[in-house]
Amino acid sequence: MKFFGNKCESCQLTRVEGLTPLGDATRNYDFIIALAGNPNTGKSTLFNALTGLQQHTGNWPGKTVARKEGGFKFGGKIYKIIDLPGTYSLMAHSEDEEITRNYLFFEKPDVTVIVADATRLERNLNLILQILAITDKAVLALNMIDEAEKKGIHIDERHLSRLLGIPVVKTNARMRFGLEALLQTIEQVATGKIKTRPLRLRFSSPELQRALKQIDKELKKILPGLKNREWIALRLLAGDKFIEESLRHPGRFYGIQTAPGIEDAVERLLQSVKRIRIENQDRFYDIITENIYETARRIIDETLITGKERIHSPLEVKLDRIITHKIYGFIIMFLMLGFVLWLTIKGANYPSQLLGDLLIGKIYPALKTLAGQMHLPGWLAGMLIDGVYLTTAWVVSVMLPPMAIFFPLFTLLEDFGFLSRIAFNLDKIYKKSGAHGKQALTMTMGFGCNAAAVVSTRIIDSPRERLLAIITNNFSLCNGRWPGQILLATIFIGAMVPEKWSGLAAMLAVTTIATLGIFMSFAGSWFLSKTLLRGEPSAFYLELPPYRIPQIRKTLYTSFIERTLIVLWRAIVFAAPAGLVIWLVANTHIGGESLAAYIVDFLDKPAAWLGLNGIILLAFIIGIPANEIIIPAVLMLTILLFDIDLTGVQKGMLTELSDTQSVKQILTAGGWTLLTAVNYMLLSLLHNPCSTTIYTIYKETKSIKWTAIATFFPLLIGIIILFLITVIYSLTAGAV
Amino acid sequence: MRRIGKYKINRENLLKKALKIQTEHKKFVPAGRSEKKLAERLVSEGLLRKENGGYRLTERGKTEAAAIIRKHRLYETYLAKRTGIDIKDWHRLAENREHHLDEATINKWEKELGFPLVDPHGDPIPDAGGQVEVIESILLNELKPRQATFYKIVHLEDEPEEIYNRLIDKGLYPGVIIRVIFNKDKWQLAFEGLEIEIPEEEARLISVKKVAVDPAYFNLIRLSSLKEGEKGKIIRLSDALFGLTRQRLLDLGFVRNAIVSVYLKAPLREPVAYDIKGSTVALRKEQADKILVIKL
Ligand SMILES: Nc1nc2c(ncn2[C@@H]2O[C@H](COP(=O)(O)OP(=O)(O)O)[C@@H](O)[C@H]2O)c(=O)[nH]1
Ligand SMILES: [Mg+2]
Repeated sequence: MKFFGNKCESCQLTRVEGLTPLGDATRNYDFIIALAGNPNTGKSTLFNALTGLQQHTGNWPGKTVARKEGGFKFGGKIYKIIDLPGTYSLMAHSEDEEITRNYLFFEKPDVTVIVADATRLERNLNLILQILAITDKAVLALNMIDEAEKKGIHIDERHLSRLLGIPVVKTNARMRFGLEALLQTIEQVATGKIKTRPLRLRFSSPELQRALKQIDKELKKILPGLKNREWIALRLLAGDKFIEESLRHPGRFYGIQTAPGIEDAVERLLQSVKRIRIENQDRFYDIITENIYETARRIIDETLITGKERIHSPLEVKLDRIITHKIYGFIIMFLMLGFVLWLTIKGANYPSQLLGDLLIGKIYPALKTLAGQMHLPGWLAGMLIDGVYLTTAWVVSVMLPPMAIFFPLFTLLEDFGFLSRIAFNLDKIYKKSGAHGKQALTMTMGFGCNAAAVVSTRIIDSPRERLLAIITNNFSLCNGRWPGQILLATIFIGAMVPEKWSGLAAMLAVTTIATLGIFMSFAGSWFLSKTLLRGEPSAFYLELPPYRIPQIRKTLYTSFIERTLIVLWRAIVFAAPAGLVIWLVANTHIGGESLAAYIVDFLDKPAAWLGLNGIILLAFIIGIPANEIIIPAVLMLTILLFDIDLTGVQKGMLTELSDTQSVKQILTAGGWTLLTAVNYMLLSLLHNPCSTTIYTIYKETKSIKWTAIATFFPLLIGIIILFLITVIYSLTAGAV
Repeated sequence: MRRIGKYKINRENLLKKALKIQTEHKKFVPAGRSEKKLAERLVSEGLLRKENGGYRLTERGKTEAAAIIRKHRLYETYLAKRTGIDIKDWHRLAENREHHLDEATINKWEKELGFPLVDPHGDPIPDAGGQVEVIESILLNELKPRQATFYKIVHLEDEPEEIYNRLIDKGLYPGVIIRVIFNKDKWQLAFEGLEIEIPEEEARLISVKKVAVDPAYFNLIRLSSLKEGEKGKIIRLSDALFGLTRQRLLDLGFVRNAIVSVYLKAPLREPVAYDIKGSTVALRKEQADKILVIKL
């Protein structure tokens, strides 16, 4: 596949001479620079290269939805750098654009680094020209230059620089090519060694010219010291309330001293702007954008050294034909999911065993012995070893390996550009469900982490469809839930077929559950858009990025390490305390019965209706903070309540402690059947989000009502489905 | 919801009707006994006054009528921009809600919506002071056979609802530019690459305004009708695209004179990915329908 991307993923990254990444330490900086640009142009990649941070990058537009800060040192100066969310424009009435616009316009970074995709320069120029209208000091990083050259797009950057009035540097942020030149240029612009004279917008439309002239004249009269008058006039014509408000307080926003009585003059001006807008049927946005694109076209004509440039490489066209094929398209999607799962199952098997052998087979008994020798009181030893240690050990041995394998694989698909094709393929179904096509993107994001996915729903403009995406996101099995699915599928369903097929059977079972989740995200959206969130789907547009060969090793390595650290950290934060709690409830006795036994007894009744047992329900409650501790909690509670001795000393029940068989023995001893396992898998798909996600939903929606709905809607569905399955099962099996 | 007396509703509808007739420089003559009775009552309230055989709104009456129109149009704008409720339902819902909405809610929405000037149909929204602009128009069925030229639909009467829905289904809504070809007592309309015939009862609902367009309009088709691999040049975005959607499409490069080509159709035939200005953007049919191009 040498047609596109970097054919050599093992190449050494270019070292950037003189650069010291400072991570997120950003105090005492000399200069502050902001990265702005269209989505998916490599801003975050550049940000990471400079700061050494690991801000997520992904090959689809909208990956970065929040602003991120970091720092680096270059040429003896310290820079604070801000990664702004990507936008297509600075003019639209949407929140993300407002943030970027106000930041660049009012807070004025020392240098604005505009990151552009060299392969899509014409479209990028729309934003570039708008940014130049409001900033004095800017540098253009003509990124993805490797891809551009491969596509036969050659740009005369000197001429481009002359036309735009700012320095232009060709870069390849991924391979860190050109970054040194970029940094030097930034430094020279920041210190004033290079003087920039940004191209200001020119408009050919007579009605716009007239309107601008009139407003400009009045602005000059009312607020003589005001800069960027033309831009302000443009904003007024577009009906920008923030700019209108800013004019009412020129002192606060522009630092201009004004004479009394200015308020009336400003009000009069605003009134006359409104009249102009009505006369032109409020179509200035069209006119302005058209004019900007005219300028962009001229610039392209002058700077593009035409060769045989093309938008899509032949290989990309071929791939797209297959991946979005009427029939193969969907098959490939499922094969892909199945393949990732299969790799996870196979890949996690060995490390799981190893970790289990070590942590539970060897260290656990050793700790027990040690506690005996040290004459620790029984309750203390129990609390620490049977509670805290064992739960943590289970999280690490059973949950960590699949999580640390699945996530990096998923990241690869994302980097490749596959996710946006999934959104493209699934959009029609989402449309029929009354939802937004980008929900496919947030849905797949949910396979990694629901909380992160809820934040990423910001890429959906329409509030109604965004809520749909938020509420149904929990139907995407998150990283914390995959391992439980895989484990149960392996020991209960994989075991029903001959050994050599068991991996495949388990994979199919988990794929089925995940597919059910995808189906639920359609069905749930459909249901909600007929009831609580009535409405028709709004507009949808999705930019399809080119395929990019992921930097396989780097991606796998960094996301593997990152995932492992996160899971380990969560193990300490969530699993250890949960272990303590579990041990305490299991060992606090009231009238001869342990507290856990009381709770479990109490929960057994409703649980039986759902084909589960009380322990599972209790574990789901304990697991609210983090889904990955549910399985360990089930195991712990089962052991404690059924008095199973793990060290095999007293009852000798368990021969092999480490592998999945021991888990199966524990569960079978706890009364688990195939029905229990299936219902567990379903409940794990269909229950309330974890507390982090719930909190995120609240932060994103700022509504208790919608947070509650998002919390209970999936749970309610889960309960109904489990109940139905249990009834049908008991009817067909003839017994309760 | 607060229960509203039938009287209030009738009264407000009458005021609206009177204003509409008056802005067309016609005389408002009540139709039927009950309307006449109501009109007399409004005269006594100082909202109407008698004038050579008909009625005219007083200044106060005008302000009050404009306030109701304001509610109606802001509510439709709200539905269009914020809820995604079907275009067919906007008017009906607004017809009902306009009598129930209070000033404070309306003002709040107006602010949230960024003080829109026109509603989704292109009708101006009166400001809080009650000023309303008028758009000159003529009913389609009143056009003379000689006037075979381009018209822009400025308004669709939404009653009877059944006929209104039929028109929407045919793709006729405010903002669409049509060419009218006469055919005895049928109206043959050419627009966006389609040619349809509509009967008198439908023509009666459509108000149009003459517009000057360039000859390219003769060959205008919808972007959605292009096949894979075909190319087009954008001539205009329909007025039915408004708000953020319109802004986004413009920003993505769907501006006048831009060249678009069809790159790829999704497995279920929708959405379609278009190459535009060096990038690839997927659109649903609803949006691609409203981007009007000539085939290259
Ligand atoms: N070939 C190539 N790919 C790049 C370059 N810079 C970034 N990328 C890739 O482009 C995609 C988008 O990058 P990202 O930094 O997330 O873009 P952002 O949305 O602007 O923050 C990722 O898959 C990157 O690996 C570059 O210079 N060349
Ligand atoms: Mg980013």
